[in-house]
Amino acid sequence: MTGQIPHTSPLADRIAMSPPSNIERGRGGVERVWLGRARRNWPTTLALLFLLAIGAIAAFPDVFGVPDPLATVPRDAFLGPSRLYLFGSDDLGRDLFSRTVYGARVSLGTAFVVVVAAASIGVPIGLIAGYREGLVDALVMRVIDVVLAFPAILLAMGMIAVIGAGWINGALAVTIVSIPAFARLTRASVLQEKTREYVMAAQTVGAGTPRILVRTILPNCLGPLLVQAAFVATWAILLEAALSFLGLGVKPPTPSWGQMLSAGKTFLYRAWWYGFFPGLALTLVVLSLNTLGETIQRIVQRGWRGL
Amino acid sequence: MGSYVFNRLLQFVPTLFVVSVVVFLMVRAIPGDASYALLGPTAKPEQIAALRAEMGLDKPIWRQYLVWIEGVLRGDLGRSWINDFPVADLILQKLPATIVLAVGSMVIAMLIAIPMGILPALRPGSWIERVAALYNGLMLAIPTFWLGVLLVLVISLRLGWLLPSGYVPFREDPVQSIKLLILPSFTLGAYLSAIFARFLHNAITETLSQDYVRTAAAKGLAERLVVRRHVLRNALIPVVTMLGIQFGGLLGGAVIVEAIFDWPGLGRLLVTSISSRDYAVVQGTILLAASAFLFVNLLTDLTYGLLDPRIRTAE
Repeated sequence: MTGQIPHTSPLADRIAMSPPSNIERGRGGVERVWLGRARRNWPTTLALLFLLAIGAIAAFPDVFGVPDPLATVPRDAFLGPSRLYLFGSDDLGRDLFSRTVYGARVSLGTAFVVVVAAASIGVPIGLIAGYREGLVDALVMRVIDVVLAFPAILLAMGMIAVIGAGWINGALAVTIVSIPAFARLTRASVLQEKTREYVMAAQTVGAGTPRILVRTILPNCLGPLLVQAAFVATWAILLEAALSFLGLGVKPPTPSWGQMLSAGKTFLYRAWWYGFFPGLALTLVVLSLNTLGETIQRIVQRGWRGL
Repeated sequence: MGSYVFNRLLQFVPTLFVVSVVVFLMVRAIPGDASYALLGPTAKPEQIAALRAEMGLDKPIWRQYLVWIEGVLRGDLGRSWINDFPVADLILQKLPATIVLAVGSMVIAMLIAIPMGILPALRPGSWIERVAALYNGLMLAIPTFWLGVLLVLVISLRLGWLLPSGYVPFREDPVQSIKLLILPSFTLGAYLSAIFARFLHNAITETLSQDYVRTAAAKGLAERLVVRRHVLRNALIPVVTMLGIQFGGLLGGAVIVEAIFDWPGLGRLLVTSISSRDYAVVQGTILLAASAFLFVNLLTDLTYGLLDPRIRTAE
């Protein structure tokens, strides 16, 4: 793993980031070091385990025996949490546990799609703008300034007003407002990296621009981008939930956390569990992603030894 | 300083122009065009043509923009497609509630952040620091809508302390107005309070290590005086600019909070007009919000330059 963590720093940092040294090795030494790190950073470990668990159950609900989120049992409407209905049931007698699980598909799916799409557009833009500078750079940055001239949620809502509500349109709107986060960061890193010796060396031996950008500069900008990805994932989940909450995202009956919170608010006086569990799931996912992002940031800045 | 202000204004005006173009084009981008959307699929071609001429849609697009922007500058944002009310009137009608909410949330955020930021910075390692860290961590992680729902659940429904939703203008009934404002303001301000508290905490910790603070303490000044005269004055300045930086988030959060508490502000207006496809209102609301956002950003940068000479000379 160590080799994949990008470093922009001289030899000292490389040594600091190298695998556990001889002293720590020995029988089971590496495992012990990792276990120690996992225990010391228990919030991160917990966050990672939680995300893996919720990701697994959301990806394969059938394997885990999650009931049908759309099945209505009218006589079971508004039942509180019990062994039959873990998170209770809603106004139509649907199982809120399975709706929360299926809601995770929307949230995590949005996060994944948005991060991948925004990064695949934003990173190349940032690479080219930072490397070329001049007119291209000025042009690109002005376009990005315009995106940033709107509060993100308002821009997303404006786009949805034009293209209509729905999951794909919501994800598209969230992607567009997320592109600047990647483009600006990449550009800043490129501006910093391209004056370094290793880039000049690559230029001197005659490497072409695409090769320099992708093979030489990009790997050294990956660390901050990884951190950014975690934060963009968080904010994509929150934006999607906000849009669904306002009735501008995923359309019913597909379950999504934002929309469940909104419906739960309506029935708050008789069913506290309706909005409680989707909100709890949303909060825990956001908290986990943030924790993970901060840990990645620490690793990028100080190396694995900093853990 | 003059050239810094000039440069910053030089950036502001074109951005505002481009924003207005984007907002203008947004409505032109809807499938079909405005006349079709207004009259519906059953309209006869001559009706559509008449309406297009009336709305100026038959003119070239840049002429349409000029007509529109000229109206906007006069305060004429067009008329609602649903009820034909002037958009500017609709917005002015909803604006006070949003401003009240924004101010209320800022006040609550500050009321919480000042003790939560100052006390732990002065007593590092104490229980106050742990409480503040817990509060900040929680408030930064809880999404606005869940916080709002939880507050209504506990404070209104379980404890019965405050009404779950509603809005009364201050002039009609000040007491009720403020009571109704508390929950929405806290919901919107909670995240800000944590941001401010953390920021203030860092700023004070940093200020405390400055030489002039050590000198003040060394010459025998009472701790309270050192803190008030030397530390707070210097640490609070950046917090003011933080307010500006967080303004965009506040606008976005207001949309959510207004939906939770049935608060009759601009956010509700925007959501209902998106649902009813009232594009003139959508356009006006977004233009206003984006302009306010840009303007506050400009003010923030200018104050920043005013307070910190390093920034304006770097330009």
